[in-house]
Amino acid sequence: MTRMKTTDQPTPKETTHPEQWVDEYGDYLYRFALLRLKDPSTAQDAVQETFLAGIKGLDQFDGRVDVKYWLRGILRNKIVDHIRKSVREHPVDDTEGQDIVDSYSFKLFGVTDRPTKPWQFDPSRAYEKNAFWKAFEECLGKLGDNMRQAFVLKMLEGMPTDEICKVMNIQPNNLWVLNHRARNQLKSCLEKNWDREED
Amino acid sequence: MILTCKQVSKVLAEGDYKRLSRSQQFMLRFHVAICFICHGFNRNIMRFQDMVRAFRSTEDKLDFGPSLSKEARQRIHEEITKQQRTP
Repeated sequence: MTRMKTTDQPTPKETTHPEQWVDEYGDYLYRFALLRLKDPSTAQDAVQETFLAGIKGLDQFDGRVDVKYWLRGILRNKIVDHIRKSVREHPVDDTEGQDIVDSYSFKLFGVTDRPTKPWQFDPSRAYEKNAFWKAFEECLGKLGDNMRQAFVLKMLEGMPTDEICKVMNIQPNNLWVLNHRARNQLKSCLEKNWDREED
Repeated sequence: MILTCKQVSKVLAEGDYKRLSRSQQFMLRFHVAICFICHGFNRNIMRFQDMVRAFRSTEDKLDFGPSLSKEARQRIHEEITKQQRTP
């Protein structure tokens, strides 16, 4: 059986009009970048660079994914570039948290010696609520730069440890400490700011 | 295979536990559930991994948060136009 020729299928270039990108995807990409980079002007730069890189690479766009997600993929790389640049300008203090790394609990069991207190509420019951994610984003924004960068790259972007260590110019143990502190602060912040009446 | 606390901590530090096979997930969950040493610590990491996974699947639909300013929008528009004119 001969396969029907899909001549009416739009070519990628027919489906993407860069002049409309700002209106169609600008706000989405900006919010995506702002959550990860925190600084509005850096987030704007990342979005602009994404669009310009998108125009340059339009020939490689095969239309298999939505333009929005294709651009988001480019933005992810730009975000990593901006974090690399920021860390180069303000290097991470890799001596901080050395006490945790030197502790017997860490060496023997890979955990901290201070017990982790149970959550005051069950966050999974709040996942359906937009207000919870608003609180989550606000709490993420309150983290120090290095903690936020570590959490974003490891947890949100799921990058491998060795790649993050190269981007942030740190050792795996430093990354572990930064993520540990980020989780603790996020937990405290969510427990303080999430109105359990809504839960 | 019996997992030690250190192995569980290492696996969880590497990434989302949901990427593991079902049997590996079962062993990991079992260890964390009964272990009096690493239960609190590693259960908390798993909770955060669950939370971030839920956030990533919701992030697209969230419509709160700031928008691009008029000035930034204008500037980016201009840069796009300039780039398109470049041969």
